Amino acid sequence: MHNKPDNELTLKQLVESYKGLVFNTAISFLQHREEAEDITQEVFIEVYQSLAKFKEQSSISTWIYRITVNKCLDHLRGKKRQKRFGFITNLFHHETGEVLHEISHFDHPGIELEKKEKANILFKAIEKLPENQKTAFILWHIEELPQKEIATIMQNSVKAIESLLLRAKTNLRKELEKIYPERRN
Amino acid sequence: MEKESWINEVMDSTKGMKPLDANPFLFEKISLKIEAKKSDISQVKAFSKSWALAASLVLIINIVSFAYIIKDKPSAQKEMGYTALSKEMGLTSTTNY
Repeated sequence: MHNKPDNELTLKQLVESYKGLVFNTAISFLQHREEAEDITQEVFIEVYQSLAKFKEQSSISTWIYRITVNKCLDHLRGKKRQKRFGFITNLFHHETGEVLHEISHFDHPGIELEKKEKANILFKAIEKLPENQKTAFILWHIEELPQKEIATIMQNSVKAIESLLLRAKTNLRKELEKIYPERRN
Repeated sequence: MEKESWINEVMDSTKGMKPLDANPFLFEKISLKIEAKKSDISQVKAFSKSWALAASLVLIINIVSFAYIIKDKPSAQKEMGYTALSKEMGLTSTTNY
């Protein structure tokens, strides 16, 4: 693991080493393959542009995780704004009647077939979490990062992360309880 | 009980998830975007340079014109001299005609 970017550490090396980390984190947040690809590119452009500003206080992967999380959250905020605006403007295409601003259904290709349905339910519930709970939960539950690293990425204390995770799990359970009766009928 | 186990299964459904491969041409795409950004910046710089040049030309023309106006305008002292001379030579009186 690189601790400080050397001059020889080119963008190509960075992309090769961290593209999986960035892309998979982005896909968990955005639940959309094309959008995750776009964000991955944006993350590396920012990494390239601010490599000189990188401080040795954290490892490169932590720094890249932080950029990725911020880019994903910004993107989601933008989408939310767009959706809100969509309700004001058009819900349907004026000529074809096609539904615009439709909520996409996410199917993670890395999940085993028998777990796919349940994972889709979980991803939908994650989408409803507040930003900081969502970030903590994705980094801990899906990316399987240690709480200490999550604390560094989110620039928070380990105690605060513990509390965020607890609240995230409680909220997810509540959300799943609401869905359960529908599924039984 | 059944509900609890269903919730637990949902919560654990992402366990063992396989990481996805990023686009194999990712680096090429990023390089193209960086180059495009660089050329955008240089275009903006060139555009602002031409604007700066035009603005400085206008400023120089203004300064030169202003200098001419000042130069052509007789000073107060000169004005007094002319008045005194014209009085002395009787040029101010209309009765000469």
